[in-house]
Amino acid sequence: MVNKYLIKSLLRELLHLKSQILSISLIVGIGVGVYFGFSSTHQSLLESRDHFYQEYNFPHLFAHLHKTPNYLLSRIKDLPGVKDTEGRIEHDALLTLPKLKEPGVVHFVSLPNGKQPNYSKLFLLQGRLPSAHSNNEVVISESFFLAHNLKLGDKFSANINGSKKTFVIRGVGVTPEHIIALQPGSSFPDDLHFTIAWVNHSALAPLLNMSTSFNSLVIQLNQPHYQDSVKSQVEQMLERYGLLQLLSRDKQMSAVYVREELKQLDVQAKTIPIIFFLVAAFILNIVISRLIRSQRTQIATLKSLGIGNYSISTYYFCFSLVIVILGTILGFVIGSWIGRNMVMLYGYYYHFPILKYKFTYHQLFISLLFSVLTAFFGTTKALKNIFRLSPAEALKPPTPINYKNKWLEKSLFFQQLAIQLRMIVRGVITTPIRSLSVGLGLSFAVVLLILGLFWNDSLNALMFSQFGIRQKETGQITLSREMEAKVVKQIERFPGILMAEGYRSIPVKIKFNNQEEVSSIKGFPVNYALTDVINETFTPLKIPKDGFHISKNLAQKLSASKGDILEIELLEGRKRKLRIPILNIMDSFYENQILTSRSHLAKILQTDDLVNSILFRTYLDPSELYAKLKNLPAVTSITYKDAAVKKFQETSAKFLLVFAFIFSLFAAAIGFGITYNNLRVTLAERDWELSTMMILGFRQSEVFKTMAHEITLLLIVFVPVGWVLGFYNARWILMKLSMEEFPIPFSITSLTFLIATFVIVMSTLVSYFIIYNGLKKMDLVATLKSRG
Amino acid sequence: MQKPILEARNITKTYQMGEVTVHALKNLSIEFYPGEFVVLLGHSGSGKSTLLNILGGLDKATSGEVYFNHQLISEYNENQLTEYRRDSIGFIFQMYNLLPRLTALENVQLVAELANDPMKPEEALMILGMEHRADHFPSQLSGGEQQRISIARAIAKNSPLLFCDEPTGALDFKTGVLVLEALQRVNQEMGATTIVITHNSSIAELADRVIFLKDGQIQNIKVNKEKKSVRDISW
Ligand SMILES: Nc1ncnc2c1ncn2[C@@H]1O[C@H](COP(=O)(O)OP(=O)(O)O)[C@@H](O)[C@H]1O
Ligand SMILES: [Mg+2]
Repeated sequence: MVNKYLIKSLLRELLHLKSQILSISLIVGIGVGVYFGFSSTHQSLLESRDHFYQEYNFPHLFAHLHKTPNYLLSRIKDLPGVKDTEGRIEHDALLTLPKLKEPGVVHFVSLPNGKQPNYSKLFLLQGRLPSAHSNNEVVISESFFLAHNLKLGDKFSANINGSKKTFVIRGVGVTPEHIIALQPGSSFPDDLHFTIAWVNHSALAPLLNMSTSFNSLVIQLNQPHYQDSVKSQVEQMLERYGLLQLLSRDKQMSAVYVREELKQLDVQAKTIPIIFFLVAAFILNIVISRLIRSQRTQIATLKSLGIGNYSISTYYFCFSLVIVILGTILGFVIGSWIGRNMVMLYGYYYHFPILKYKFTYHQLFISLLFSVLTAFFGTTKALKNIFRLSPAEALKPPTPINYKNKWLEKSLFFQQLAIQLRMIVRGVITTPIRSLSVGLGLSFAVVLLILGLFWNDSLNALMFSQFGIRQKETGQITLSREMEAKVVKQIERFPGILMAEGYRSIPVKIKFNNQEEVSSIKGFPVNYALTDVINETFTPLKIPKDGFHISKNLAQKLSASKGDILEIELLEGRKRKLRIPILNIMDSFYENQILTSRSHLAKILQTDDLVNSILFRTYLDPSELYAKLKNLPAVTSITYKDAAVKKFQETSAKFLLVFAFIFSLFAAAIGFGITYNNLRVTLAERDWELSTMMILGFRQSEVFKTMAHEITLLLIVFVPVGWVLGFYNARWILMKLSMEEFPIPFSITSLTFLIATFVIVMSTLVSYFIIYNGLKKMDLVATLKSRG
Repeated sequence: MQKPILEARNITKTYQMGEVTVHALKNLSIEFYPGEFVVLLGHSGSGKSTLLNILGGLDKATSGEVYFNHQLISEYNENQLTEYRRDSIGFIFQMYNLLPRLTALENVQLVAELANDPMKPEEALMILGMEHRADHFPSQLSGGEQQRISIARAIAKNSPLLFCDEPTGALDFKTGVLVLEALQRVNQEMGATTIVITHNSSIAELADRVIFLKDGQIQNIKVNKEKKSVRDISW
């Protein structure tokens, strides 16, 4: 029954309700935009990453070892399942840069002289590789290069094995292995103080006495599924040489970071839009129901003329369809804008050789499908009334709603309420579906806001736990070898150092319940003061004189609990095996560690009291401290907590602020859309009643309150529902997104709830304001006549 | 002679309908006295509702003045008009216009709360013989019952003016009689100036004065020396 008359009438109706329609389209548009934008960004990045991994030979396995002779390479290569191997030298050294006051760390990775390696090839963003015979040219990672505004040709010096050497920057690059340049053992990228430097093998090897050996190995497999068997063979073969770490590609730090970041996008693309589609369906239901109710006479007339239910329903469905399609188009515009910008933003971090924004027809199709489903679910409920309506019945006035609710009316509490309030409560409960739609819509807006805001709280909690209460040290000095504990006293005597405490960390492999984890045992002084050790319930723990605490996440990975006995194997020296009982579980947010006292560790290892790291507290400027310490030969690195944290907080704060702002806008659109549409419908349905009240002498504000406070009542009930839903939703999302390697504590402050509430209340007030002005324009006499 | 409580002077009301100008009221002047029961008679379209709406502050005259107790109502702004209606007028509508989400009693209570010196809502219901329907919602009441609740609502404010635009228009004959009887009784007991619009000339005999409107002008005013009661009228 598509004919000119109906199309015209459809258009007229749409035009008449244009502001309502736009508000619904906007909500659909945001839903589509978020889905389309996030999923196309995800897709674009995924493809670029895979392309990078593929083209630049990202290997399957990574091993870190002590110095190991080169001839082993060919033996590993001969193992079944292994396609190829490549040995490298990796080395961390203290870095000085004329522009950088405090010390940095440079992580050297050797290159075949003047050539690309076979695996983890360099993608050069600028400049060139070191020339074949140079022994001082390097390519460095971009984030450091940019953070210090460096130019090609700039120099830095590094303290390698006690001798200071100057390097010239000839290129800027990235490999699939270092998409995110992370200092080993650190959880935050610290662009100011950390860089990777690719250097000729011949430049690095003599300094480390490793001309015929390697300490880093990459393995390419014939088939990825050989991974486990190859891993155990390699472990066996290299055991004697001191295998520190053997990681598969999926555990490799940079790969984990990129993967988790992409997963985050994917999860958000698939969860957040649901809120918008649901809310749009709710509003459509309210608006279409109203439309059908007000047109029951026409519908009945059409029916008596022999036009079928389905044809009439199609008309209203088309009405919804126009709204959602308008929204979808808007969504494509919003989405591709979001996508383009996000891909660009990620481009700054990821430096994939090829990074182009693109979307797929699949994504377009899914967006459209969800919009149409929204229209479908938003309309069907209302369309049922068309089927129910018999022509004869429709010509009579609609059966009035029965406001008598026995249970409610009899309650003493209800009888005590002011009349206006009773009127409002009845209005809410006699249209339960509509009230629930509005209420849930408002809850969802709150949920959305909490999802946008809680990241800040959780990251603050992380910062606080890591750098606030628990770690009072200013920074840490890493020594290149184990030294007598008296070095701590020496450092503490340096003017400006307030306190210094040395600890000893040794790598271990833990076995429990057929689970294996690589971790480290840290031995701390018994009267340890710089860091609090706390248990899961935040009660301080003492450093055990002869026992072990293990961190919560490690315990979880091993499914071990207090009292269990772990089998551990020391990865250094004579590879001794020990059985240790778990004394306590510590709350440790991201470090997989086992804690004991240094004296206990020394006893087990049958050594003197040795340390390889020193924590310190100082009021010295990093540059001053560095000037004092840089000539100590055994110092590998000095890291300042503050600088890393500040930098991280700055970047994340900026990002989170934008994120929160956009979410607030989205939530406000929902809050406004749902309250505005509901009020418009109420205004249309009750115009007669409202004008009666005004004629009887009620002031406009009094009349307005009787309708608006139905929404206020729903706000009072459903905003707290939104708090609860938001709380659990945020916790769920955090759980889903949190990396095993880097769990973020879940935290929401009351300020977040307050802001969420504020935004929703404000968006509601805006629709109150618009509707209130609409009420002003109401022509009392005309309105009365229209029903008289 | 008594002073008028409500007075319209040289009221003209025109509606612009495209090219055509409709003269709903033409230079009409009329006075109403305290406590009198006035019936406005006239054919459909003669301007009765327009006049009542202007007197009631719902509509503005194109020209002319309206005085209530010597106050120039016609110059009032929206807020002042609202206060005027709130304090001084009880309205009764053809379609009763009870608020659907309130019971009979609550409908009366709500409006009574507006007044400075209201009647007890239960008492107002009693006067109309509707106390047994106090807890019913409008949807549970017949048209006649609804109209009597609506009268109770109008009188509960104890306001000096009572305006009724075709109060029996939607009712059957017998119910209409009951409603009119109630109106007349209320007028006698409460003494509010009551203006009733109708196009049923039989009602005219109940009134102190009957004003005939035709084409927006007063055609005739008839003063009933002896008012009949509803029962005495031959319908
Ligand atoms: N809002 C309006 N627009 C145009 N004309 C109107 C309007 N209201 C009333 N009229 C006209 O004014 C005249 C008087 O109307 P009304 O006072 O309602 O008559 P009555 O109540 O006596 O039936 C009629 O001709 C009517 O068509
Ligand atoms: Mg009329």
